[in-house]
Amino acid sequence: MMKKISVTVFVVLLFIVPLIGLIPGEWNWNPRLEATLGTTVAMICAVVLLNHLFGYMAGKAIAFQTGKRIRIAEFLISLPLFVPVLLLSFGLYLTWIRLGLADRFFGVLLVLLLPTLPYTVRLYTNGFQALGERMLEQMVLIEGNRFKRWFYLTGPMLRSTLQSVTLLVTVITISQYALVALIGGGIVRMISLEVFPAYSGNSQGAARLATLWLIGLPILFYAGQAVIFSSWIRIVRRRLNGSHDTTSQ
Amino acid sequence: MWRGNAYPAALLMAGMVLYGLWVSISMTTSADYRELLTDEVFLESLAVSSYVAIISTVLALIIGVVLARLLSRTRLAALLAIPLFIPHLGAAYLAILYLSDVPVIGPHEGNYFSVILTYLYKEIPFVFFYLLPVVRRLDSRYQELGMMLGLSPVRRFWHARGVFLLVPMLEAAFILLAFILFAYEIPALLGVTYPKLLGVYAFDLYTQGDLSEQPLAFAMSVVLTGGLFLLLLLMTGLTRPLATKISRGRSE
Repeated sequence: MMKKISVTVFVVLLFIVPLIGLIPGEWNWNPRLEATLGTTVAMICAVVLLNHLFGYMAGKAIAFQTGKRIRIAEFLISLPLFVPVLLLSFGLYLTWIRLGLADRFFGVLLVLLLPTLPYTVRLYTNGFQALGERMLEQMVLIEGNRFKRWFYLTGPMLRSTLQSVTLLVTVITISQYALVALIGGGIVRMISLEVFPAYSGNSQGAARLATLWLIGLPILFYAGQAVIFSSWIRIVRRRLNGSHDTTSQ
Repeated sequence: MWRGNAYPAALLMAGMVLYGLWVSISMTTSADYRELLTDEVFLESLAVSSYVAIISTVLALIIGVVLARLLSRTRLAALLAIPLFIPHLGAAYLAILYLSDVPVIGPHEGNYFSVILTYLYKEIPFVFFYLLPVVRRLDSRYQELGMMLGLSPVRRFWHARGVFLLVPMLEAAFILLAFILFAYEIPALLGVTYPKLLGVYAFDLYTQGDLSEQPLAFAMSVVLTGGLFLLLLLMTGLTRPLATKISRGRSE
């Protein structure tokens, strides 16, 4: 009991209490910061969607396929975790110039997949493994139409995986300064390009405001997704006429 | 049942990594490597980066796995999810906010303590959630079996827990090590101008120096990628016998 209390105190003191200092006395606006929000939100949406698309396919394959080829694919996907991505992006930048992708939204989007997609694939692999092959086969027997099956069964059951992926990708994407500055050439203006100089500057107010946006955006995305999920699941329950509902009894 | 498709993701990731590496190789000559490997600034940067990365990784691993053991069956695990919402840049701000006036551990000190502390803030929760599923699956009956066989506490720990934790822990360690070794944002904000960490040094060399410095940055990316790759091969080679033993033991 003593041990549990001291661990709780340790965790709360070191990880939660520091966040109190971020609560602002008064709310200010900074037009330079808000001007980056359009690009930032668009980029986050695009990176998140591509991560879900590629990550879902790859995670399912790694969880349910066997053999040498899938192990090689798994290794190749995890490569960016084990190599210096920023240093390799120097070379990519030269190529992006030739392909006309440098200083463009799409060029930055592609490079931002490097620090995000390997994590996404891991999360999806774990999610599918936890669900299990038998469960998925069972679902095929219950519902033949694959779209209906996804809407009623697979999607809701993968809810926690989908939510973690969105959170992780949002947090990583919003925090990239060097990659965005390099590949975007200062033209693709994401929020980190304003936040970074604010931290090196002298204005405490500007730095605090920047941090609030930095933390606020992932929370907003997460909350938005939570709302979508709860209404999705409410629709599914209503459609199933409550006869399969075991939680709200 | 459709069994997914890993090739688009594999092609994207391997394509960009290997192509970036190929461009870096083609931009350098052997003279650049000779210059890099005798460059005092680079060698010092490598040393101080290794120090920061190894200390942060080891501490994050130990504290993370202990917390996972202690909190795996409690609701407190949710508390540690909160730092996951904080981007690395935001964590750097916390260090600026609280440590700026503190002597030894403040930002812009040559010992890089503030950088290490910031990484611990972000990476302990990472290790915690990376290992939580493994810790939750640990079977306490192995521990009882060890007790029954009269094994010493150390050997009991190794056979009941250690073998299952080793590979995931090494994986987490490698991810953290590679990430911290080459990260830019946190050391650029909290570090000192000399010696710089590798990510900051390479980025500044590439973006701020004149064009004649660029081959050095490319040589750096080749050498460091190659070095890390060797380390990865060594690690997988060493742990493969154990990993296959464990998976065979489970499936039979």
